[in-house]
Amino acid sequence: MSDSAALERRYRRLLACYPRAFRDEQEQEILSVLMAGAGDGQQWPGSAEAADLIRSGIWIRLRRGIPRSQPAVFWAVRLMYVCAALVLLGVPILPATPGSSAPRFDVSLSWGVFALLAWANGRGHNWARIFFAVWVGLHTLALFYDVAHLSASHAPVWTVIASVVFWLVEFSAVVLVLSRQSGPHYRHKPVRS
Amino acid sequence: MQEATFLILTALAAGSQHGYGIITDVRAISGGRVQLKAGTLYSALERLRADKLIEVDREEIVDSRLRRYYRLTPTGADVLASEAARLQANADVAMSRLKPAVGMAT
Repeated sequence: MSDSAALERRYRRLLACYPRAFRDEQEQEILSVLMAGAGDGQQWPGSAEAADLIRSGIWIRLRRGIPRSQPAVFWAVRLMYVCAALVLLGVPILPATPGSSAPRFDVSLSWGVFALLAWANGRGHNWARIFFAVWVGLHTLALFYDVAHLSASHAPVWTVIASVVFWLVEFSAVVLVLSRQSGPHYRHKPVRS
Repeated sequence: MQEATFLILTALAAGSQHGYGIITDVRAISGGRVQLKAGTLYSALERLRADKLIEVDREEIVDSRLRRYYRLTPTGADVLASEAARLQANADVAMSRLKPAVGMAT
């Protein structure tokens, strides 16, 4: 196998990070750009080039299906990804209340739920909008319960503030996905990628 | 507007270009400072197409490889012009305020 054929095959593997619909339209074109920029005898993609392709592919996967023409959905989905990132960073979604009997949210699952719902809402799945509203509703009940019992729990103030800020972010996302402006986004056939 | 986006639109301001042409033109415009990678370029091109700032002009097959040429839309030209004017105004203010300081230093 020639050097250029081996390099092209490796670039194709990296382009698997991109959504199928994007690859169907753009793969040949990106490959021609990548091969035009390759050095003589180069057999492997450079590490920076490979990282850039992977990062861009993942980013396009996340971004696809979020129509900028629907600003309410666009910002709601962004807020959901912010929620997922905050959970991953360890921001408490409920105040640290030792001994509380309120239903607990499994943090290790919560970030995945937020990410999944952001992805599905971006693609216009109506079940995702309903699921997200119920999810935030349950979280709201748990938060109210914990806040009502704060005096007995001695929860650190910063966890209460962080939980309320987190709740404001997710509640804003719910308001946006349930708004009238978002309606047309969920009435169309969901986007496939 | 991000610098890479501004430079891509600037590269297309003089006429349609294909992907690799945009990369080399952006490098030239920025004096070699900005070196776009293919992933970044096509992520930006996809977003610019979605925002209707650029569009596909034509396609060619060269050495059995696809070349797609992009061009600015009228909306893209307007957005680029207003961004350039904004940057120009900021730069003018900066230079006018620097002149006394430069004069005092010399």
